[in-house]
Amino acid sequence: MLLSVKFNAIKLLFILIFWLSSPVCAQQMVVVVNVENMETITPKIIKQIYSDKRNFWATGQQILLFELPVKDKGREIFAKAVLNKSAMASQSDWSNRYVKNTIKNKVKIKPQKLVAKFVSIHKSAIGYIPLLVAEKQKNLKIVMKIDK
Amino acid sequence: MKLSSYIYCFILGFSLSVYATSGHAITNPEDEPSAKIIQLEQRIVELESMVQLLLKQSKLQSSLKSTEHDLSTKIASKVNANQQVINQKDIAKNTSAISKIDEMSAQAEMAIYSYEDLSEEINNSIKISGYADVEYKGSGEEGVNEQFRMHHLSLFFTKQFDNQIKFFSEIEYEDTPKLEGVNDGSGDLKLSSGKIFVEAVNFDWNYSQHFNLRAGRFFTPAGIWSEDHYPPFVPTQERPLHIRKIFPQLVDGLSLFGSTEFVPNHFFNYTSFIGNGESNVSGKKDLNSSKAVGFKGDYHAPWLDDFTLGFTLYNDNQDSSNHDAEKFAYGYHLKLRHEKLTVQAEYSKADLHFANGLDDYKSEGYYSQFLYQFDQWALGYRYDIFNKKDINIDKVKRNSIFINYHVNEHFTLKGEYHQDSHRDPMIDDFGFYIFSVTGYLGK
Repeated sequence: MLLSVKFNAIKLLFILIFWLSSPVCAQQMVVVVNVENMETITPKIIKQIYSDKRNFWATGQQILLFELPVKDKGREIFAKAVLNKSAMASQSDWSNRYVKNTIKNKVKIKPQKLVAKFVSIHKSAIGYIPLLVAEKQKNLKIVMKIDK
Repeated sequence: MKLSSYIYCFILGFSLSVYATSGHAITNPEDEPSAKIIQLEQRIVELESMVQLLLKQSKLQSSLKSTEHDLSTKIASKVNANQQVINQKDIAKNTSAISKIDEMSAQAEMAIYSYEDLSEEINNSIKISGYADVEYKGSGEEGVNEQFRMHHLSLFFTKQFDNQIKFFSEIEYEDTPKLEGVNDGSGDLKLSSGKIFVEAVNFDWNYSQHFNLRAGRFFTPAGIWSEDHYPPFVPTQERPLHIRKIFPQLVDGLSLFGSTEFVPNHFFNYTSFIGNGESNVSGKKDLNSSKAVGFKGDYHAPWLDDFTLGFTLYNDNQDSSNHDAEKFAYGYHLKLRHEKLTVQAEYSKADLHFANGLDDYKSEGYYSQFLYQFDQWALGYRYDIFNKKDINIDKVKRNSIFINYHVNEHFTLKGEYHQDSHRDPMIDDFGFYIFSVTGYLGK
């Protein structure tokens, strides 16, 4: 009896810790473009870009697209929110487009800080990074916020 | 002031004594002159000693003062020197920190440019990737053994020449090919098995979203499975029955393709092509002057998570693979995804007209596939029909169930079971299964 009470208490404690810690661990992701990018970028356009349906900006410039590595939690958050699929599935889609020879966009997989840096340098680039990383980098424009 | 008054007194006393010794006495009728002289002499001695003392004191004071001044000057100069050293050190420190920061930011900038340069170089160099799969297959068909099959090893060689020009090729090694010559200089083959096949070799000119050109060999842009068939990315090793039997597998020729957003968020993708037509030698020559032409259109709507509806047209006035029959084929396809459920369906039909008019026939095929994905798992079912000729006896139906486990984004384990039903009573119905591992070898 005593053991089961103890066990339940421990379980409750774990649940409480998990519940408390989850919002802390959740990172707010943002979709960023270069500060000089004057396009109107809606969530639908972002989805089209990351689904390889759109590969040029309205200005006629080719889109340079950045993805985070599959193991990065930010990619999972982004893929779920924007594409409604897992990070693994979204990466499989890119590989499939590559072998089918139907890939249109130039996609680069880089870690968060490099994504921030490269988007700040390239006018035609788009990427997604945690808000904290975006705030530390100059020349970025946030076009979409994603809450976990 | 004190010192000067003492000196003055001393001078006065000295003059008096000189006066006394020279015989000029101060006459005082009441005092004895000798006593006065003695008194004066004593006084002079006292004064002299006093003056000496004072002089000594004065010297001492001045020497103290000068020492004090010297010390204070020295201390001040020392302090100044220290301060200067500290300031100089601070300045030096700041200067070195600034120069370090400058140097580091220059290095960072260089690193970025070098990275970009290297990245550009890597992008423009030839890239190799590929895929491979291994199967274990068993069948209920009489006389067919359970067996391992090293089905595919495909290598892709690609090169991006610049922003617009790209090369793509795929060489497939099927069933671990082996070629062994007779070692007598004759050039004859002693043994040959498997297949080595250049499935794709083409150049792209990507001009814009709307307009792109492809020249070379490529998979026929028809329906979904014709292009989207690579084992690591499809749920079954077995393709639907009618695939490659109505539209040809490959086109050797030219393709014009692009995409347009005709209404905001609604896209139409087109691919038109012209080629030699279907034959075993299409890579080298066309067996007739007639060219095969085709067109595929895809409509992508912003509905559900994915929505694609499309059609394909194909015409070859002299189909060399079918005794120069006039072939016209068409098809429709649909792909929908809502959250974890993906539905995919294709229908296609070919009309073949022969010169004698007697052998004309129609081929028809259709499949519907349902795939439910959860976490790293996928479960699916496919219903499949193929009628090779429009005499019903050739009709085959297939029911397939399958399961996939995606170990990661590039490596998948698959299990599938297919049950075939033949309309022809002479052919027994049977089922077969395949367990496979597939891996994409690219990045």
